[in-house]
Amino acid sequence: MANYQLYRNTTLGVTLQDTLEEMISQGALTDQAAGKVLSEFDRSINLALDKRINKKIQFSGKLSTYRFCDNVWTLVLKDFSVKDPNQSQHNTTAPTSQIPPADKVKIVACDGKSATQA
Amino acid sequence: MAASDVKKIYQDVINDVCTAVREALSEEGYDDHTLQELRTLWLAKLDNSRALEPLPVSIVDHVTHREFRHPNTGETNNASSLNNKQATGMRLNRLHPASSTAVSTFNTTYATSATNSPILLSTTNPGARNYIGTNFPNRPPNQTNIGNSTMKASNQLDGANDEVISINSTKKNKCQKKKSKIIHISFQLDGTGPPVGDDEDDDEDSELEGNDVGDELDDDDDEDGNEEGKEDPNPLCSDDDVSDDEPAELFDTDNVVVCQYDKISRNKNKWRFILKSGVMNIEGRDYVFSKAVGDADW
Repeated sequence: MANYQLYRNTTLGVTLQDTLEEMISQGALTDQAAGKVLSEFDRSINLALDKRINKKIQFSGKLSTYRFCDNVWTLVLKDFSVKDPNQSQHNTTAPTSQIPPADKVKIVACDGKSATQA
Repeated sequence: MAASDVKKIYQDVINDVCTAVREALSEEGYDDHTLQELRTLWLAKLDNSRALEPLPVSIVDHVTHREFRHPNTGETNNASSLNNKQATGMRLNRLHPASSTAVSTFNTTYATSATNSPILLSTTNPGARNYIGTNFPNRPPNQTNIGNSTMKASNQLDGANDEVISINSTKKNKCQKKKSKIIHISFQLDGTGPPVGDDEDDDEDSELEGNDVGDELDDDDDEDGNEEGKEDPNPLCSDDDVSDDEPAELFDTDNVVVCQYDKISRNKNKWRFILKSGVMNIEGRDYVFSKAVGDADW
């Protein structure tokens, strides 16, 4: 399993980095200690997403722009919508739990088969 | 995926990280209090991000989001600045009714808006805050750059248009002293202005040089000047600048999916994506997936 750093750009990763920066600025943590926490976050989030969730979705949209560089795909989809196959058409699940459509979505994807770090 | 599921995954990761680094931190002399502070701060910031809150059911909210995001995506680049102004103003007023005075100030001068915007936008949702926060503070530096990119930005963020024009006019006056003021205005506001103005300018320059040297050189210079004048519209107008602007604008959005790809294939203009281990932030809310299959036409 790859151990990518790209999940540092998620909400969870960004809030952790904000926390670490704040603690470093207060003198509560050193850069080295913060680096260890971030590395642990990389390992933990990669593992959690790989092993602990079982959620399949289908999405569609119009591919507006794409880029493939250093084994990383960057895709921009317009009129992005998600269909959740786990939820039937007639169920009564509150709409708040569904993924809303979006005018524009950027997808950043690393190679899922590569063992190297991004 | 329900927000509670995402919350559970996030909680697991936070617990994992705190457990795993406990030993390493204690070896470096940190006590449990530091770790507790880390966890508390992290959870508080995650809460403030509102990424785990349920999306409002209100359709109105969706519509408003879309209205606001259009200027960001550049889809309404051609719309008049008045429309953008109204949309932005309405949005800000809606979010912070008490700040209507500040909003009008904001629309008048960008210098004032730069200081006011953080206050105004502190009440907006995370997505909207990101949009303004990343763009508006950058505006003053942008204003010092001469070029079409500045004009383009000011089309979206009105109120500074007059100022931009005056800056550009001043620079042009320095570079092309012989051009009349009327031509300057047409150069700024009319797309067909530049070739006409530059042709005249080149002709004047070359005539002056030619008079000093001789008639033959004068003819050569005229021809050169005309050729350059004919080539000018392409490099001077939009081509170069658009290519500079496009990448940032094209990839600029608040809705981001971070994931890994298993397979991405294309058949003519039909693309198919097989993705896994994804974290999505759509309309300010977080969702996760283990596998995602997508189709898109290019």
